[in-house]
Amino acid sequence: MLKSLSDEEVMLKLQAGDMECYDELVRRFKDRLYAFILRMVRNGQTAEDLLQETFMRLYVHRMSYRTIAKFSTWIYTIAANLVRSHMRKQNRMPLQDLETDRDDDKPRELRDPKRDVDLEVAGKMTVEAVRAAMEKLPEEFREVILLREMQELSYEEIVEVLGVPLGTVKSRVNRARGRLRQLLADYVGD
Amino acid sequence: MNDRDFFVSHLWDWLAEGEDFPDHSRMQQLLEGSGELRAEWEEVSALRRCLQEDRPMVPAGFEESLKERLARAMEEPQGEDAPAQVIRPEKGFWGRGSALLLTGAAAALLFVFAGRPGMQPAEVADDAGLRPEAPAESAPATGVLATRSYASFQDTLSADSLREASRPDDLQSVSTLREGRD
Repeated sequence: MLKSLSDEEVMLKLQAGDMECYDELVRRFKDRLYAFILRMVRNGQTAEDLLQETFMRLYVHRMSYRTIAKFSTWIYTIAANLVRSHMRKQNRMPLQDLETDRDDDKPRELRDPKRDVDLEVAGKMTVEAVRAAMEKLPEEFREVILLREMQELSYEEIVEVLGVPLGTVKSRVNRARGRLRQLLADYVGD
Repeated sequence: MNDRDFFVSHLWDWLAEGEDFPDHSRMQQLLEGSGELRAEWEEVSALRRCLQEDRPMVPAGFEESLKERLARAMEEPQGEDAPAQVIRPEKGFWGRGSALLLTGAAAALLFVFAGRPGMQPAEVADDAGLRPEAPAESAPATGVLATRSYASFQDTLSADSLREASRPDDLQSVSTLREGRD
C-alpha cells in the first residue's frame, strides 16, 4: 500500500506518526544515497556512517520538511551537506582546480573520426575505467557529475541541493564532463 | 553556434532527457547526418552507461544497525527539533581492533596446541580454559552449532591428520593424480 504513494505522501504520513513510512523511505533511498556518498568519500565505512547520519537527521528533523520541496531534493541536501562537512574536516577540497579550468566551458573539439579514436575509447570504456577517472576529478566536479549523470537530478534540483545559482551549476557540470572525458581518454590510452 | 557545436554542447542533456529534450528532433537529425557526431554520441553514451551501471549497494545489516541507533536516539531526552545527536556506532577502530586481536589470539592458541604432535585438541580446549563451563560432549541442544558433532570436529583436527597433511610428498601425489586423470 505504501509502495503506491509518492515520496512526499510517505513523508507526510511519517510526520503524522506512521513509523512504517520511515522504513519505506529508508528502503527507497538507501542505495542511491549510498552510491552518491561512497563515490564522494571513497571509503565504505565512512559512507555507511554518513548514510546513517542522513537517515537519523531525516527522523530528527522530519517535522521541518515542507511539501513545497521534493522529498528527494530534501534528503539529497542533507546527504550532500554531510559529505561536504566531512570533506572539509578531511581538508580535501582543492578549490584552486576549479578556478583554473575556464576552458572547459567551451564546446569540446571533436577528434578525427577516421582515426577511430572515439570508437577506441568507447570500446575500452568500462565501469572500472570510468570509476578510476571519476576518482581523479576534483570533489566539486565529481559532486555535480554524480548528481546529474548518476542520480539523474535535474539542474534545478541540483541548484536546491547545493545551494548555488543555476548558471554555476550548469557551468560546473559542463566543465566536469569535459574534464572527465579528458581523464578517461588518458586512462584508456595508457 | 554551428550545428556541430550545438550538438556537442547539448549531447549530455539530450541523452539524459531523451524525447523531453526541447531540441530532440534537431539533435536526432544531426546524429543521423554525420558519422563524426555519431562517434561523439557513442563515446558519451558509453560513458553515461558506465556511470549509471556503477551502483554500489548498501552493505547487509545496514537497516538493523540504523534501527538500533534510532532506538537509542529515541530514548534520549531531547526535543524533536533539537539537532541530530551524533551517536558513534560501536564499531569504531578500537572496538573492531580489540575484537580482532582476541579472535586472532584464540585462533593462534588453538592452532599451536592442535598442531603439537601427540596432543589432542579436545584436551587443549579444556586445559586452556577456553570453555570451562561447557564440557566437550555437552553442547547445547539447539542452534546451528548443535548440529555439528564435537567428536567429528576432533576427528577432523586429529594430530594424525595434521601430520599427514604436512608431508612434503603430498603435493607430488596431487600432481600425480592430475597426470593420471589426463
